[in-house]
Amino acid sequence: MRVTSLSDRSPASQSVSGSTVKRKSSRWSSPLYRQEIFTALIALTPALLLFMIFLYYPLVMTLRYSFTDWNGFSRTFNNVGFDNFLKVFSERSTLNAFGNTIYLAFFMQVVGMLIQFPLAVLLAGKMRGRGIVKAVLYIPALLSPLIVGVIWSSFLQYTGIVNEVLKVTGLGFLVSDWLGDPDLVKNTLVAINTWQYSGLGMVIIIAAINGIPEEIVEAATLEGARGFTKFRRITLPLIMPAVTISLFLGITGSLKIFELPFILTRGGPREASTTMIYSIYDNAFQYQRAGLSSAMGLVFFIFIAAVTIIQLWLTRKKEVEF
Amino acid sequence: MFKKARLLLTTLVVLLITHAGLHPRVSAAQNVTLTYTTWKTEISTAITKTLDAFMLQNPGVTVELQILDGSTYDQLLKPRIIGGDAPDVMAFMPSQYAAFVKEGWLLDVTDLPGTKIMNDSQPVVDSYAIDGKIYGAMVDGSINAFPIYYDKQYFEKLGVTPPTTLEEFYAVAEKIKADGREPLVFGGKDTWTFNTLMDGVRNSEWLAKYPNPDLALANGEVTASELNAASMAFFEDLVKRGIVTKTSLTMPYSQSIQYFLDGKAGMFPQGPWLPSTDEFKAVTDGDFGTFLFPYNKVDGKTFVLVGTDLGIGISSTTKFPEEAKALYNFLLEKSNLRTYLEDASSYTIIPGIGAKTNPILTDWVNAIYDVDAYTLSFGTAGGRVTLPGAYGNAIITSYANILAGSTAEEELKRLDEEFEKVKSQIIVSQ
Repeated sequence: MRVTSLSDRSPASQSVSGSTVKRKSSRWSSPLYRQEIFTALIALTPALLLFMIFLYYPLVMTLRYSFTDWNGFSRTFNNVGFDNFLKVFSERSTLNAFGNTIYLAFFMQVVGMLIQFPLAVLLAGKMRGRGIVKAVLYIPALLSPLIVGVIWSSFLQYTGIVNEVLKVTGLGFLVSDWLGDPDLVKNTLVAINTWQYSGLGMVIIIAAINGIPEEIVEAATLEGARGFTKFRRITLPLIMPAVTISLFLGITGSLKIFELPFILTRGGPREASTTMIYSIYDNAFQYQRAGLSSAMGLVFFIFIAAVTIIQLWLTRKKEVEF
Repeated sequence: MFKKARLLLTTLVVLLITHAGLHPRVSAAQNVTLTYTTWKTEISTAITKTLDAFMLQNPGVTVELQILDGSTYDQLLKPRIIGGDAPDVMAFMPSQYAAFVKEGWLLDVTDLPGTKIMNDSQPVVDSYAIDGKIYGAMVDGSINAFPIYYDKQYFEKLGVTPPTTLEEFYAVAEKIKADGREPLVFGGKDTWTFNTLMDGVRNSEWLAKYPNPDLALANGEVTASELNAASMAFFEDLVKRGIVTKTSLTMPYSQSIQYFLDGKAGMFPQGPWLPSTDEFKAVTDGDFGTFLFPYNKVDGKTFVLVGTDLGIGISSTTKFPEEAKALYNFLLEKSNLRTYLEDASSYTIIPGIGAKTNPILTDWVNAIYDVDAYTLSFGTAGGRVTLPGAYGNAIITSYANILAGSTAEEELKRLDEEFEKVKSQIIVSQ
């Protein structure tokens, strides 16, 4: 069988740049082509306008306010140069919030992956009732984090259902202050987040596993690949694109976590669950330091961008094509 | 082309004219919807009753009641005002008033009849006067020594009476603890609930020295940590003694009411509005009473801070100023205010309103007005100070932190740090 490459099929792309330009210019002179472009622009304009108004304009204004002492509601403010940016890197509460966020993001990914992978491998097989199990595991991902927060808040408070059940079932020694112990609260948030989003990651990975061609798996099996070796050598490299997406969503989502600490703990106890986004919100609306809050937002935006770029670069290197 | 445009213009003009002719302009008093915002969920029944009466008297005017979350009221209200969606009439907290006036968000109501109700109390008028003008009026007063609720039958069973000294308080708490109940409970997830006891503790320490501790803080005569040192140490002691436990740390306000009513806590510091809550009303066989916490005494007297709590004002950008003024005046009419205060189990420091005190609160009210034992100091003595809400939140968060294992010393250090962040926002007016 002759494999035809893309370049074989498109001689135009091999032509010298001049001829390509000529071709483009001749297309532009066609009224039909121009009308097509015009229609496309008309169709795109509403979305672009919304994007400009609700994304880029606020972003530009955030940059503007980050150099001011604006309190968030006053009509007047002063320029303060780089003061806000210096505060971002020097205030104890901001550095604490940054540390908390990194802790949460790291463990949410690690624990999440440890749960998603085995579940995905198990449910990608021919297990009976897997459809129901998948649905049950996926449903929490459909809930609003605010609702999840309210539910878990009543479960996990000191006199809540979880501790009461532990007491009744003779497991009183496990009774803990899940939301009130500074040493425990971050792990509680990791657990809730994992419960909510493992189903989502699992579904992405199942889809990737099911997309692996049968012949590759069969060939590997014939070659003697079994169990974990087969998973590590065959399955994992082939599902890496899905892992890249799952990790990307997970990292950006957990770095931006806000609703859970807001509803469950208000950033406490003792600031143990104050995250960066919570701190940005707090500075803007509670402390009325919208200028500082804007600077924090920008710095953190750059940080998230850097982290995700590195993550994409690292995981994409592991991807293989088939 | 020109012809087409002329035709279009003519059609538009005709349409406008005929529209105006077919639908004559409704008078301002008809088909107007006013919005009224507040944060006190407990008073929803009482305020709804008053608003219904207003709507009955003003057919064509509808008042939409919007109750926003109290702990984020400021965060929710400000963006609405900035965004051009200010409620026509709004309740505001004392910490918001001066800032709202400074920004020009409130209408001048100096000459409105509703405002005149405050004339019987000069300190209240002083609380609202800014450069000779008034932009709002007090609805609820505030006595920063809240009642402590208890079950009379339970106290009888234990053989104890409401404590009158700190030693007696500790003894009662120990008896309750020995009986397997929590001595004191707070809905500490909503950290403001700590203030129901601790505000009075803090103020009773300082009022003898500084009639207006906030002013002393704003002027730099005293630091945030100095002002709060005694109350933080006291709270730390309550935690160490097991009088306040972990239960209070993650329990929301609404659940704390039920927790007390279910007989799981022996004493419950809360606002005087408690008897008007649905949870309290649902109890039919309870016999509850209140007492005043045995605060610190200076020369045999306890100093208590009184001031304003919920105030109301009219948005400066309201599209219906006349209707909004009518609502404002209606809410502040003596008879309506009386009805509201009785239904909401609230109180006022303006004399002559004549609102009856809820029987549960009788002992507490009698204690407060015992002039031989208590000195009431008005919050604006020497000048009005508006401290940023974030400072107040930092104080109450400290109590939660102490419950979570922190020490008073650590929290006082943190408090000074937090005060530094917001001290530039303090508004002082003499």
